[in-house]
Amino acid sequence: MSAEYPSEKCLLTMPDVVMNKVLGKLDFPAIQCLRKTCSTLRTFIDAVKPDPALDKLQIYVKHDNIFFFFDEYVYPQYYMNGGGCSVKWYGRDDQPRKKLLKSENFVDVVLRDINTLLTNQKSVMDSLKIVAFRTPDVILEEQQELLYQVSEEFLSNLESHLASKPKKLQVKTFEIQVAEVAQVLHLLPHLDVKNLKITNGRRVNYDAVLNMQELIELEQWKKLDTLEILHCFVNLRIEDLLHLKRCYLHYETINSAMIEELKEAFRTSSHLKSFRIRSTQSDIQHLMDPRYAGPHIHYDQVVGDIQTWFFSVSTPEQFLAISIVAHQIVFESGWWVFVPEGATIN
Amino acid sequence: MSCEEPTTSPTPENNITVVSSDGKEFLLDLKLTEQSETLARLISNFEYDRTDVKKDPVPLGNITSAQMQKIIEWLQHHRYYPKWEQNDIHYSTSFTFETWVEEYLNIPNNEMFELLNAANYLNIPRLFSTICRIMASRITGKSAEQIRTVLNIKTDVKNDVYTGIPIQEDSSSSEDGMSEISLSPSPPPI
Repeated sequence: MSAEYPSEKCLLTMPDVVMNKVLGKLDFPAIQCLRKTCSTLRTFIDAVKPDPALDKLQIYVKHDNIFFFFDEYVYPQYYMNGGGCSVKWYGRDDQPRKKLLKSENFVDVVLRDINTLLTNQKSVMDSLKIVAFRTPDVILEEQQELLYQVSEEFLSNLESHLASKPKKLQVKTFEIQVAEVAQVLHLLPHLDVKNLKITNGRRVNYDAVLNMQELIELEQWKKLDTLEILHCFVNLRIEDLLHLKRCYLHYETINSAMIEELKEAFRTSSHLKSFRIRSTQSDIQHLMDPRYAGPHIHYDQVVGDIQTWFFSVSTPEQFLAISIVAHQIVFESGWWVFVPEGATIN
Repeated sequence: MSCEEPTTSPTPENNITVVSSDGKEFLLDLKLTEQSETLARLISNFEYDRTDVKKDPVPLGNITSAQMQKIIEWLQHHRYYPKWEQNDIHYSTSFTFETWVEEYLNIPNNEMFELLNAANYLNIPRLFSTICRIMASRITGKSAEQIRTVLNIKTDVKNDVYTGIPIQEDSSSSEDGMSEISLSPSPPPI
């Protein structure tokens, strides 16, 4: 034992069971500070590998800096600075501090710290959000290209770390903003995810159609409860979505066959809760089979008229509501008691 | 949570005698020993809860009379509390304590650690967990240097001139982790 300490009882003389119990009550920054007090504690903590029990982690990648949050207040920022990396953070006296790491790539530095954060994470994270590519309103073309390179470097290096973990990182909600689906594929195969949100970060091609083929072949795809894909169109088959409970997707066009397929799935499968699909079409209501009774029309102050068709389902006391408003069609399971008076059930 | 102070005194039928490491005897009500898993198991094994069984004094070689006195004070206070339920899986535990506990544990660090050892030895989970929470509350939010001061830890590594954190000659920045990242008033614009 290298640290000097008094012969009387102190933290360093406590049995492992006591140390483990105390560590179990500390958050990640506190454990890191304790680790720095002396080599005895450093060795102990490195051996025990306490779970930082991170609840959430948000990472923002920009063309010349990256920063992340893992609780309300802690957010180190890493800037490209010539051939080095400037790290900005706040001391416990709330004073900003800055340190220049010469000849260090800022992406390598931030990844080192993020890896430190995630290495011992064993518990399920509530949320992991990575804004890997988001172009601001005004951005030079070369900056956009640089941002893409930085985000690729960041994601592929983070992928290496996640792939090296013996167990997939468990995350309830994984939210990622990217330039293309391939960037999602860097990380998703190494995560155990329930809810997935993908946002197209390129502002210039909101009408791009994502090629999701590789994504839907992942084992993670089948395990998803919720899927949300924003700012781009998808070309997914309805049958590829029917394991989900909830989803929000944009299709360039939808047709009557898709609506019928989804309607039948909702009528026979009790796990389906809510599917919200947007389209460029403004006349979706004409896609509904005219033989169905309805629609029940409800006026909403924000979105205007909402046309709803009601259907019985296989589960007693429940119904399916198909609502159409503006460019959206929404499939929702509900309880009988919420069917409005005067509405007809198909 | 509050509880009533005990009103009954131990009688030969409902107590056992424990002997501290310095030879002092303490008469303990069997009701109080239920909070100590070690004593409860011993009483069950030797059937000391039966009135027709002769009860030999129980030696507690690891616990001094001063510590035993302190522990009995804890047991008395928590006599009517419900059985302890372990539910703090993660660190997200409360660092607020009832006033009685704060006063009870307003003792020097070395005494606190001795009491912690005693609570561990006697397996009194509520006391053990409470002291661990107190220790954690004294660590949380402090820098490495402040923790050293509070817990009287002397380090064998030299400090970084700028951050005040210890540096080991053979350690890289990655090994140093992120210890000095800390609280700040407001997040940067996203």
